[in-house]
Amino acid sequence: MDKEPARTEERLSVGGIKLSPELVLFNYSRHVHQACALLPTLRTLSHQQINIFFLSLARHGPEDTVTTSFCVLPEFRTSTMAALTAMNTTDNNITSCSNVGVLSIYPHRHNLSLLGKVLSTLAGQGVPIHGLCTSISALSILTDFKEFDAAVTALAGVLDLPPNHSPFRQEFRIRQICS
Amino acid sequence: METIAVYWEPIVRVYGYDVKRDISLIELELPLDMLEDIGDQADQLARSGKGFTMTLVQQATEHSFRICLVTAFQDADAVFNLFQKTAIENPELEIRTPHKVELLSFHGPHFQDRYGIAEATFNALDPSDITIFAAGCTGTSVYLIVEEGKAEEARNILSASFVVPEAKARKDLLRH
Repeated sequence: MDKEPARTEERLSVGGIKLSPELVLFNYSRHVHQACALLPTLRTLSHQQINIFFLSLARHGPEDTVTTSFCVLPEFRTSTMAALTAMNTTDNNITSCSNVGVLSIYPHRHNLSLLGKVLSTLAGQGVPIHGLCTSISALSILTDFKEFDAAVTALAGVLDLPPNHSPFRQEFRIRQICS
Repeated sequence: METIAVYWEPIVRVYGYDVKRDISLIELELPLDMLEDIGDQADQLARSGKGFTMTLVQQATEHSFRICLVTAFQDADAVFNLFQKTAIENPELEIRTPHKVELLSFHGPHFQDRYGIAEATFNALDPSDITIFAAGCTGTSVYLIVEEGKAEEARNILSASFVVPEAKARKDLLRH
């Protein structure tokens, strides 16, 4: 396991914070033996060239349920919901939440302190947490898009960021119209 | 300012695959108002040298969360015991006995900006009998937590959709 990063006055040293554009979150749950709407949905989104900014999947519970949480841009909310509900199975549970965003802290260095401080700080300050997932270097938190500033302010008390650091926000994106 | 290019390739190129064994999955379900305490306990575990391989949190209901925490196998008991002590005092916290799993991960250029990555991953694995206990597609990475003994099989299946360019594959081969 990586060596624990340096602590400055109990703050954890990290490289930076990145903020996503505004997104829509979908939560989809089904029992494993029920027909799965996830794969057809992913195929539809791929066919329509819709990027998924964040996805987590967990299999859980005594009834063996699989829950998938994923995010797309707001302009694709309707088509994504249509894809998820296309199978018309009433036993599946689909919810959506608009106006969310992904706040990514990097690098995490597999540090449980970082995970712990992020959870306890945001929860303690009342910043909503809709989800969290780690990647090779980043710890990404799903929160309300309008709470980004509050989240960054709260985390500044437990994270030691580089001098003159400002959370990176994408200001524009280039999208290929056709392949 | 950052420029993002969206592109598509018939077979997605990746930097490489990583398989981790001797890891355990610990699952918790807890009410919203316990998240702060659990965070404090994670911090406590870090101070005793414990870390995570991968973690994810989902909102289970409006007032509860699900946490999947993957740790080194040798650390799993210590992690479990700490949370279990809390669960005894707080019956609303549910924790499941750790079980051994394997991790297959891979990452590629601009995964977070490209469509089709998740579809290619899950579509390729769907016909197999590999159980995926947890997965994350965030940043440039895809992380798959699978049953013990199945990570290599998962890699073989995915290698048809996600290819390591030849020079890198040769270097990996020499290294191993």
